[in-house]
Amino acid sequence: MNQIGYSALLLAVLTSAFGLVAPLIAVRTKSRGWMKTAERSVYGLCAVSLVASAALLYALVTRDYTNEYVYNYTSNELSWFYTFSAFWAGNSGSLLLWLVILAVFTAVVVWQNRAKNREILPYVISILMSIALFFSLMMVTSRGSNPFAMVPAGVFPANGSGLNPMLENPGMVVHPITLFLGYVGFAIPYAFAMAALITRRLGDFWIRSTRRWTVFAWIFLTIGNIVGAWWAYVTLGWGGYWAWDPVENASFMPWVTGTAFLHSVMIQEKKDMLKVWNIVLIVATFSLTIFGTFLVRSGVVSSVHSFGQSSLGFFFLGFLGLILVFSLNLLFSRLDMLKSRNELDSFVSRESSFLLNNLLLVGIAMTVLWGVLFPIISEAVTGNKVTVGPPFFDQVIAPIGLVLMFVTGICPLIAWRRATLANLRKNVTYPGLVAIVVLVALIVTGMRHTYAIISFTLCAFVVTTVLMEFARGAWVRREMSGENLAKALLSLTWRNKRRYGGYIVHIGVILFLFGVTGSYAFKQQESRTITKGESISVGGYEVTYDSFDSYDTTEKRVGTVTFTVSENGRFLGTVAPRKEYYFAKDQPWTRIDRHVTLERDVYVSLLDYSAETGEANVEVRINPLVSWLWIGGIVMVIGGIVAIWPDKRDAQRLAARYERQVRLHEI
Amino acid sequence: MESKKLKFLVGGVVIIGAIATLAFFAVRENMVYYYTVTEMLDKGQSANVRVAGDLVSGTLVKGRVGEPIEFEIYDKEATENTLFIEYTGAVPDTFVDDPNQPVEVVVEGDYLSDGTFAADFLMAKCPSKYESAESAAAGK
Repeated sequence: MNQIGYSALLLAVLTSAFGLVAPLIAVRTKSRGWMKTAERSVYGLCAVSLVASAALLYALVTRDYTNEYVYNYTSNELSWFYTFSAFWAGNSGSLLLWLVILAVFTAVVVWQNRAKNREILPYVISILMSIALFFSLMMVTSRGSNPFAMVPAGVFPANGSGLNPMLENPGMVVHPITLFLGYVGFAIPYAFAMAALITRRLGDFWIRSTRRWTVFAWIFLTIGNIVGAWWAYVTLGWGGYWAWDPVENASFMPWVTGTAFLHSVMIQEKKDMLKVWNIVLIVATFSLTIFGTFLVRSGVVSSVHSFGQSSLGFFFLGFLGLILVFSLNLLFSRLDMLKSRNELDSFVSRESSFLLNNLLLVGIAMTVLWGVLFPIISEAVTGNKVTVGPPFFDQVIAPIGLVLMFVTGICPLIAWRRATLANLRKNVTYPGLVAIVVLVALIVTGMRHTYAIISFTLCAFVVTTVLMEFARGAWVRREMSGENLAKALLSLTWRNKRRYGGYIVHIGVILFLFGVTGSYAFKQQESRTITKGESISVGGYEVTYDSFDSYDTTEKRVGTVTFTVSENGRFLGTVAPRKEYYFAKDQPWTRIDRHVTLERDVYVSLLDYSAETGEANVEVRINPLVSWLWIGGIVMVIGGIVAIWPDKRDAQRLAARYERQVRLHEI
Repeated sequence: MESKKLKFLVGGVVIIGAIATLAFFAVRENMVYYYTVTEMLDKGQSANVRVAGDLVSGTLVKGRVGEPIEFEIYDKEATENTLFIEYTGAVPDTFVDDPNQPVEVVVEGDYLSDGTFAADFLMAKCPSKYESAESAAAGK
């Protein structure tokens, strides 16, 4: 099976190399036959990378320990569920995952565009295939990246060394694959942008035909990031969900620039402006996905979940350099064709609020990038190794984030083109009043945390403006169609999926930030060593040591303390955090337990215990509003799905527009 | 309409400038120096610094439950240089004393005049599984 897998990878190198060249020949010779062949090579790559993945899966499922990857990431004890996640638990498997996702996506793109975009498709194929070539080449040339590398000949291990117990969590099954779906998804709009530049077909069609891909990528990147945060929160045991770790930043940055891109393309669609900016944003986003993939593997920045140092870094840096040189060079050579036909009408207009949103988002991405690269730059320039920790990021991102929240709220209130101040004043009245009421209520009830007060006030403001958008639309619809309000609301959303889907996403973002604010500003913690009967009280909650238990299984020793959680004397429930010790891997694992309500989590971890005396070192944290992070994430994803849902009228509009642009030779 | 363009330009520059200023001061305030064990020993007493090194196998002493742990780390480049660490806080699960696989450690805290490094942050990284498997394979 390993030979089949490795051969499939070799074939992947050949087909992607062929698929890189063939479309260019097709263009040069104007040959339909070559184009047909090029498209077949895309399906071919899809087939061989699926075969390679099947081979790896087969090796994993059958526990073929002569395969080094299988040996490293599985064991006889591993459940079948996590056997699948072992596919992407390590470097080489996750590279294969990248390749197979890219190959499938490219095949879908070719199929989607079998009757349209024929002029730019050759270049799209060529670009996507060059990315595939890079990933497949890396797997076959670097032993450390080959998922089919064998253990030394003649060795037949009876058992594997097993998956890291921290990865045995549903979050770790979802997190990597969703993140990669997001990463690779951004390759599609990138390829279209480049193809549009090459062919000088610089209308907005490349944006419109890849919009769903962009939203798709954005949704998965959102899921990937939030599930990653959730996983960190429930398994790592330090009580938080985000530490501004370089690897977290790596997946956060493309999300931020991708979000900016989703917004700024609307300006190009509406006003035919910001053409250069949009291309810069998609180049940045795609480069950041590659950078993110690289950062995890390079060892250049020390991080909790890096794969360790390897020569892979040079491959990636080289590839990244190539992407940047190619893209920016292409962009500069077409600069004079990218002139806007319009300009902004007024300072107070929805366009300029989009512009502001973009500046802020890019500002956030740049700040994070600076924080990640700062140690490297500083060492190169001054020779001093320095680093900046989470306080740096908090300090810079928090104020920018607050302004961004304000812009999110004000944006739907401002008309396109030119808003009059009178008009704006009228629209702001209700949300403004709600915000002021919330502000006063917060201060009166004794809240003194400035950022939290501002943030909660803005949450109220934004939610009100969005709800008013829904209400106003539904009202008008009800008047016109005579539907009841609930039905009007649904059909309103359904008939304007893109717009109202976007608003649902905004509500999700606000719920998410509501959770971030609460858990960041009002968290409390206490850690002490206690024995049976004693308790730790934090923020009105008492966590009382109830009983201790210790037992051995075949693979681990488990120590667990059961605590009762009560609030001002009222019994709420019990939690039983554990400390496990895995014999085979000589690895301890602290498994936290929580008592969860919408209001707060009581987060208890058993840091250490003594089996003889029953003493336990316990850390209790009160994390307010944490649940809203996950709820907000779900709402964001729902909104994204609404926005991306196939829409017949939208498709018709798109087709009509395509024909018109073809007539005008814009495509 | 040049003046309108100028207005937007000025607006953009102000925002970018504000973010850059924010970032500049935040870096200055939150910068932490990062040393190897040898550099730390040369530098002497310092507050709020980071040191990276490898755990000296066998030096890890755990006190009673909840008390600080003590251990030594050494410099891979100059193995005779070691630093004595006293760490208070939750011990990460990756921090395991294994003579076959020295665990890489990053600590943050103060280097005191008596030669103790009092740490309140500890990050430990096992060499990646792949590397260990490869070196094991190479050794066979």
